[in-house]
Amino acid sequence: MTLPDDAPPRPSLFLAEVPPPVVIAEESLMDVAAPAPEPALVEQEQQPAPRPERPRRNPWLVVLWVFAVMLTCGGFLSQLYGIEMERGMHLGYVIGAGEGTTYSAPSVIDFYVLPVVLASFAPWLVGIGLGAAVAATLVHALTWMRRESL
Amino acid sequence: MIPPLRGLFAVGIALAVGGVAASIARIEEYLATPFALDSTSGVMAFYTESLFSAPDTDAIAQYLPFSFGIEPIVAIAGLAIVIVSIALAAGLRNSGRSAP
Repeated sequence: MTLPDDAPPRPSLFLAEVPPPVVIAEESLMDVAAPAPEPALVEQEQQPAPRPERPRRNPWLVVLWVFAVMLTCGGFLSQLYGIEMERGMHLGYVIGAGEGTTYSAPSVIDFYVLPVVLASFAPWLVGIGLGAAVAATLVHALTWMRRESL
Repeated sequence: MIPPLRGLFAVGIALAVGGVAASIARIEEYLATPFALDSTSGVMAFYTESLFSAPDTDAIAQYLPFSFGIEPIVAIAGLAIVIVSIALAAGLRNSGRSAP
C-alpha cells in the first residue's frame, strides 16, 4: 500500500521511524557531555584587551634620585646646623645646652671638630646632591626626547 | 653596568671610603693631642676675658684649632665619581645600549 505524495504521514509510521530512546546512566552522561569551557578561557574572553606593558623602571635612575634627595637635604641641614653652631659659639653657648646656659663647658668635638667637619663637607654635599638631581633630570629629558622622536 | 663604568664606580667607592676613613683618623689624631684638651679652656678663657677683662695671652696661646688636610676633598671626589657613574649607568640603560 502506497500513500499519495500529498497525504500527511500517519502517526504510527512517523513514530516507527524515530529511533528508540537510549537510556544513559547519569555517570556516562557526565562523561559524554561536552566539556565545560575552562574558567581561564571564559575570563580571558570577558576581560578587555590587555593594556600595553609599562616600561620597567630604571633602577639606576631611582638610585640617582635617592642620592640627590639625600645629599641635598643632608648637606643643607648640616650647613644650617653648622651655622647655628657657629652662632652659638659666638654667643657663648653650645647647641644642646640652651641659650640660657652661657659659658657652659663644651666638649672639644662640639667646639672645634664638628664645625670644621660640617664646614668642610656640607657645601660639597649640597653641590653633589644638586648635580645628581640635574643628571637625573637630564636622563629623563633625553628619554622623553627619544620617545617624542619615535 | 658595563665594565668600564663598573671600574669607575669601584674607584669612586674606594676614594669616598678612603677619604672618610682618613677624615676620621685625622679627627682621632687631633683628639689624642694634649692641645685638644687645652683648647676648650683656652677658648673659654678667651671669650670670658675678652668680655669681662683683658685677654689672657697665655690661655689663648693654647688654642689649637682643628683643621683638615685634603681628606674631605678625596671623600667628596669619590662621592662625585660614584654619582657620575650611576648617572652614566642610568643613561645607558635608558638608551638601551647597556647590557641588562
